[in-house]
Amino acid sequence: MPYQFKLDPVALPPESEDLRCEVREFLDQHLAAASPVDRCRTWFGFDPEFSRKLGERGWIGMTWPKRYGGHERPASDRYVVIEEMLAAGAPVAAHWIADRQSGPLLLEYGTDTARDMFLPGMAKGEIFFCIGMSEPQAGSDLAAIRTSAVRGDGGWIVNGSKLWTTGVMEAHQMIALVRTSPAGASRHDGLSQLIIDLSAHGVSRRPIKDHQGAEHFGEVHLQDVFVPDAMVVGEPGNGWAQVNAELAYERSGPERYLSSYRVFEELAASAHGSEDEVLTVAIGEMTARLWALRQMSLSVADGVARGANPVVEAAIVKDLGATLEQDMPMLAQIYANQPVEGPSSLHATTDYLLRFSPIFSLRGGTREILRGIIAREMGLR
Amino acid sequence: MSEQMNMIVDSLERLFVDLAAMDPQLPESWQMIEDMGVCNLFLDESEGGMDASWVDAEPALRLLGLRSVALPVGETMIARHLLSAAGLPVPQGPIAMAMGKGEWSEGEGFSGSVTLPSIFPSSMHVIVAIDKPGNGASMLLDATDARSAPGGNREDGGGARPTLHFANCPAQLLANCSPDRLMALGAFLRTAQIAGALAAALDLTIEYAKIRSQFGRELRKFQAIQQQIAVLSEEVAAIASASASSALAMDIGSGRFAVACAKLRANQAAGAGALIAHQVHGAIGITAEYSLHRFTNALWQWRSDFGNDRYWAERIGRRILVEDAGSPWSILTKESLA
Repeated sequence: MPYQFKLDPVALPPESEDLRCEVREFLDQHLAAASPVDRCRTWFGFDPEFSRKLGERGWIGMTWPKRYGGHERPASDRYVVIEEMLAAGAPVAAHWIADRQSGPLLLEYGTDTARDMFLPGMAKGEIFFCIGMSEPQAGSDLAAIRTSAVRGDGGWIVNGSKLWTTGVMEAHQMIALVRTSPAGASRHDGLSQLIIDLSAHGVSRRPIKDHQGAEHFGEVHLQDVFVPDAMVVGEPGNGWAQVNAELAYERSGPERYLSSYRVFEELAASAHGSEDEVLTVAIGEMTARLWALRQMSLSVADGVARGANPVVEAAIVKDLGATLEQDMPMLAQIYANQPVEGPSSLHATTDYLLRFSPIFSLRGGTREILRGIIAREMGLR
Repeated sequence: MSEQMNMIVDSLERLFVDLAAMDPQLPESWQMIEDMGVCNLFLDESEGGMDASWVDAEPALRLLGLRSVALPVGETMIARHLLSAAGLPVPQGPIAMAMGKGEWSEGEGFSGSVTLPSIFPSSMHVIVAIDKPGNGASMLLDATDARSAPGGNREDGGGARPTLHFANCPAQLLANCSPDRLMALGAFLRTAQIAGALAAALDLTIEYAKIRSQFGRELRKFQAIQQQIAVLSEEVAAIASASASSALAMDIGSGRFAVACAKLRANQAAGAGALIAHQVHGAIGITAEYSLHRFTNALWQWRSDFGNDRYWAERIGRRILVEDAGSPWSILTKESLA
């Protein structure tokens, strides 16, 4: 029998539509002043004030237990909130990684101390996290990391560097993958996840300017940084398995196909009421892809909420999603009517996203790595 | 229901393996399918059916593609459902579905032609929709009334599309089924079949990459091959999800928008996916002896059936740009509701 993908169809419950309306009202009010290009930054748009307001509304840590500041709402509610945020182009970067990834990781593997210390602040939109994975000599080959930790009194002493770390300049804490013991039979042995306080002694960080002048990522140097035992996430040595489980959260959400949605909205708005056949067909073709990706993403999110670990399905959503995100600004460039006067918001968003779009198939696992994961699951490797 | 459906799908699986060795045009082939009861899946239990939902039936429809069943099994299931819901008698034997050209009136019956998108045994009915502004209709015709009733051709994998010509033939009107509805139901069926056939093509491709060696290595060891097969896997996953999701949308509401998106997405996957499957196979893939063409020929045909890419893209695009005056996102989210 052929491979059975774990993609059961999902429909959001009717109640979630009230929530969707609430979110749209909130966004209409709070995004009125945002420029079209600002709205293209989505989960790279940093605005701590906005994150705090979301925290007040109870829209961060929505599914977490109340004792940690969460709201114990169904995963489908969280999905509705984040997809509306992304489709509208809300600046969600500040709390994004904590809400998506670090919070759930701590709930699963964190010590009581770490949960009490961070989760309530994350849910309020006040404590920001980042993820320290890549290094100068370890990009796609993540197991090649050299940042290492040795035992100290009541904790670990960390040395090394992390690179391309998204949100590192604004984050308060970084969950870093480090080597705590030499590689054993496998290079994947001996890796651990540590929570590193970015204001600790021995930490220095520097932003990296991207080709459009933005500073959404950076580098961190760690020199004899002390990390107490309570800040170890899970079992020392189990880091590789934990990181891979975490990547399923990271690879299937709506941020994997909505990063350039704003330009599609602009394109449709520019052709509103038009009988232009070329644009009608182009928009129809893209909408079918968008619809199909949303259905897959909903299915994977539903699987994760039920405790499954759909690694392959998540990799598929991310790879197809990244291609869609790259095709959207390209579609606008190919099919938009040429401006008669100055550049319109459609052209501004197209220009910005075309230049930003290479990142879509790099961050969170390159296209080639994702396809390698899929090929392995198909029994080819 | 899902447990019961699993059992039905398992028995169908065995049946289709047996059928693959037989001539589908023989009456015995159709009788074996009838005996299984699958064509009555949507009928009420009082009519010998299972009152299946679209989600219940979708795995069985997908299996038709996976096992390249050339007979109009899915069409018959849907047609019986339509007839029963309209309170009309359900005729014996297979029923095809097709878009036709011609004229219909109560007194004169139907005159026109119908090109069938599937092979069919000699005794059969067909539900035909004629889509004319202000005068569209769907009706049941007896194919034996047609002037020429050519048979399909098994050897060409269903590529030939027989055309039937009718002159003042009796037609039973289906008041509950607009031409758009028949088109959507056909599109839904083809989406499921494409999902099945592309999954079968992936399966063959993976197995071939494991047994074929070149340059002293199995094909599967080459990264270029791995990456190509990964892309094919993505397309298979995407349309499996699209097919199942459109079934759910039809259970919850009209499902019109979901079916349009799903068929268009399946069309896109059919073309891209079939080429990858052939590329990995090399020359053996286009031989009559090897089975890949049974699936890829079907994929090429099904992409055109019940709406090619342009047909559905225009409908979706118009919906966004003209009819709703909204954004793609607002329509996408609104349409996932009942």
